[in-house]
Amino acid sequence: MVMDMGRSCYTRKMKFVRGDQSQTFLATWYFAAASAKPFPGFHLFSSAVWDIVHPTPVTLGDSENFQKKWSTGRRFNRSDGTTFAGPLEDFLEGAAAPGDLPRGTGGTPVVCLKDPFGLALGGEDVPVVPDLAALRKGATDTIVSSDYAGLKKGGTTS
Amino acid sequence: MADAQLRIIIGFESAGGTAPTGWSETWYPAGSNADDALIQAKAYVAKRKELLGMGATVQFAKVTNIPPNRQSKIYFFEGKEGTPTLFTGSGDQYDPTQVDLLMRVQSTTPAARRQWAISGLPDSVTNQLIQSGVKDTFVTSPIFKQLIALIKSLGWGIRKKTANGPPPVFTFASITDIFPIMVRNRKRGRPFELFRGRRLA
Repeated sequence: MVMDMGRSCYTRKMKFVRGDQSQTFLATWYFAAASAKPFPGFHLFSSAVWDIVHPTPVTLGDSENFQKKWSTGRRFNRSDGTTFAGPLEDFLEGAAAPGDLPRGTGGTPVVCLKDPFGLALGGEDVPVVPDLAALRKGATDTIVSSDYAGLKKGGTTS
Repeated sequence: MADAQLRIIIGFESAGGTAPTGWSETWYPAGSNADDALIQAKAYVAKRKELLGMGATVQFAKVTNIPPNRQSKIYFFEGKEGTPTLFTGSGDQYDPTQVDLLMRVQSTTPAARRQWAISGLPDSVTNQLIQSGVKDTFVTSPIFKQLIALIKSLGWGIRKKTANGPPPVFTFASITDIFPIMVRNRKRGRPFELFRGRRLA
């Protein structure tokens, strides 16, 4: 989702764990997809380029205590920018713990991918949806239903 | 008076002469309620758009806390949130020479003043500036008066540095008057790439 506005992109460490400024992660700013929406609420992760005083000490978010490296702004994930990952309050207070989110292809958090998630990049089209998985993976069209299983498998209609 | 708690950034884009340009205005509201500050920003833009020439638009308003707790939120006036392009220019051709009207902003603290360059003026304003001068243009234009009156009524102020630090120390001084002092040309930066879908995400 859209977190801030800018003319160019960069990579820099950010602080993100609630109450622990020693924990950092490498954040890369990139240009949002055309479909992206602004983040729905206030958050701590805006860019430090808008600060008046440089460097500005911050509790969490983009910190100028770390070196900035220019980035092309290219997106390396498959998110359309309409969803965010994790609890909303984490963006305002910091993450409870430095855990990791389940990720799909391209490093995109699974929750940020469109349904059906799990679409492989370059692989065969195998959507991971519980009720159709077996069918799409080349199984026979055998509907495993308590009402029809016997009939479809050649049983008699008794 | 204690330092400002919030900052409002208004982002603009215009066609410019040979290449599009983007610029921003920074304002400091009184108080600490960020939602109220966003409402104030929208009210300001509703009036500010009257002084934009054709092809110039207001793109976004961003409200942010003064660090170390840098909480911020962006509101887009065009496109992304489904809002039609309400805040476009008045219909006059935008002046491609990038003429700005430089204003002096005065506050309750005599030493605390700032300059404010009103950019993207329509031809009707810059033509008037040539014909009758800065003072008459300002005095005769109801739009200028309404905009200045709105800024004062919102209680916006100037952030004045009182100690270098580090860290520097600032105080907040409410704006008491705004008036034009000169016309000048000014180069502005590249746009914020709104319409090309190129925002920081």
